[in-house]
Amino acid sequence: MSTIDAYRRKYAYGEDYGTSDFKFGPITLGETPDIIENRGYIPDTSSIMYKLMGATRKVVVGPEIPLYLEAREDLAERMIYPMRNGIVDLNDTKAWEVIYEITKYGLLKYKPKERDFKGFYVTAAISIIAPKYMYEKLFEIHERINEEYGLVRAVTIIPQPLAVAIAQKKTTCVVLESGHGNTQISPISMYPIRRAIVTLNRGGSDANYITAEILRDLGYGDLVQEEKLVRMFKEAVGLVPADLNKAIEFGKREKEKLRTVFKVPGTRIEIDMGDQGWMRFLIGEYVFNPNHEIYESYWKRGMPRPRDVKIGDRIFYGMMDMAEAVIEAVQRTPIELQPYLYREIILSGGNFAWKVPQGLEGVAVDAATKMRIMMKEKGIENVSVSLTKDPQYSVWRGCIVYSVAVPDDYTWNWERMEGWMIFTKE
Amino acid sequence: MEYSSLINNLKEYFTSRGFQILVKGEIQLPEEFFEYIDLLFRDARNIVAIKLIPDLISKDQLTEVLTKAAVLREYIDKVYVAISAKYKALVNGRLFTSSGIGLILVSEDGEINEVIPPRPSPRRTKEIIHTEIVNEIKALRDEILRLKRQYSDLARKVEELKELAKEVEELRGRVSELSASLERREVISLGGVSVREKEEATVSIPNKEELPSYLRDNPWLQVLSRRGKER
Repeated sequence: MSTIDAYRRKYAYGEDYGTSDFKFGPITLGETPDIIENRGYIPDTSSIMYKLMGATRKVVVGPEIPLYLEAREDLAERMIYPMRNGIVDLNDTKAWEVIYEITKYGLLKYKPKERDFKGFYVTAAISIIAPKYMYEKLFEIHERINEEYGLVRAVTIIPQPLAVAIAQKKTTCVVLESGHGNTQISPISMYPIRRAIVTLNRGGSDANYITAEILRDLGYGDLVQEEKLVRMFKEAVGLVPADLNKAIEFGKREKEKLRTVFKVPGTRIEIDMGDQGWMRFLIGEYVFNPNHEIYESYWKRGMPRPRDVKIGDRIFYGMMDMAEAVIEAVQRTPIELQPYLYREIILSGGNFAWKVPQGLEGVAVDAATKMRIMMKEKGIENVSVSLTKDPQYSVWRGCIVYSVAVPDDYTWNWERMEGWMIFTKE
Repeated sequence: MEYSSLINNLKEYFTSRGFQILVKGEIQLPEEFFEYIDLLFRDARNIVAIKLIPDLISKDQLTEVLTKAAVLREYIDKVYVAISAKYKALVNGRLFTSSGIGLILVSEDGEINEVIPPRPSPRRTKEIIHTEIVNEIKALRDEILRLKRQYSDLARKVEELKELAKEVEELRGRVSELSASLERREVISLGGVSVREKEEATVSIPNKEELPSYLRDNPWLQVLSRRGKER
């Protein structure tokens, strides 16, 4: 029978440092965390607004940011998104100051009034490709907050894919986490198997590039500078084909079934795809496999081609398809484990949220079906692929479970990169 | 016809139409204008003045009378000049119309004929606006007084709430202490388990439904709770 420590039932706390949002809060929030944008604004201390607000803070975070914003050209410089690519540069002092502020904001917001409170058990989740110095910095930040406010009894840091696996209640699985800039494939068997991680230099932003090219082809080249509009168009019309060649044939034959007019919300702009509805399949396919010859013409026109890059000692593959990447990752684990890993493939992140419109069943598929088809094509049949439920919250939920369950005497160890860093002792 | 007879005819004419006769002391007017007024009436909110010319005068004199009467419109709502009908040849109608002065001809047999109606003075419009502004200011003043009263009520209630919050905080602390004390007593009575042991002990999940869905039947709880013990 599972047991839960009474103190942690009240004071377990989770932090998910996502690329766009920071999800945080104690276990008492229940099913959903609190959310603020993972960003901070550095106000101009000479500005009238700064003086009017009576502010003394160097960095503003959370819902107060709009109060300090000024219509200035240097707005972009003053608004800091510290984790745009999951990794923060060691010497980026502004970014670390923002991370300190958002961390403090969350812990102070939920500071309990009970007398038995002696600090939270905090589990923070960051990208699995985060270097060691990011762990050191985050520990320093929590220690500093504890010294200032006595809010942290113990802190630990886990990779986001492990948190996803925990929230999905799968102890042996492969987690595919696809973000804005890259996709990480992480095999997990009770522990994250770090040596088996495969990273793709491809994410939501690449799907945006091909979407922008399609908009140009349709005669809406003037709109592609608006990144948000491109993303909205991608999410509204993009489709994942079961088989790209067959889907293109179908699209050119059954033009009306794929015809779509996209109306930009809140504007009078309408994008009519006319007879070119088949192009919708190019968007989804590119996320899973950019190797089809049809994409050559786009690269020749100047669209960035996903390239292999080396960051630290890790290679980020550009053109490897998703199924190949899963196989590559699984093959780096012990042979007896491999069948179990294939049985539980979890897709996490907004880059896997593809819909199948009515009337296009069989031609268009969801992300899980696409992965099953691709794995089958490579001879791997006994696979089970699932999409995370509530993908926005699953990392935070995994953090809460970790905070609740890991015992006090399992202290932090830099070799295994796990355990509690204890700050307050009774 | 005599001056007094003409005056009486005019009084009769206007009073029969509901006008109320005023005496000069009832209105505020620079002293020098009173010699240009022979009769004053009130018609609802309007003040009406009449200058009577009983005798023959020259065109120049009539023009001078009209000039003064025109200035009088600054203070009076409607101004008439009454002339004996036998001198009507002297009258330049356009002069009356352009200056906004009304013309009354009084015939030998006492008949009153309102030939040109007077144009209402712009002073009335100003007065109405002025009255409206005064009323508006009064209403605003009343509103401010009401808000001030409400504000002081609210400020008092906020103070009361602060006091209550302080009391709740103190009570919460006492409940927490009592609860901890009860737990300790329970452990001791159950068979000599030390207080320290109780503080570090884990508790079983009494009712799984109280837990968030991701904690219910999650195999990771077992896996993670064994961390550090399996190696």
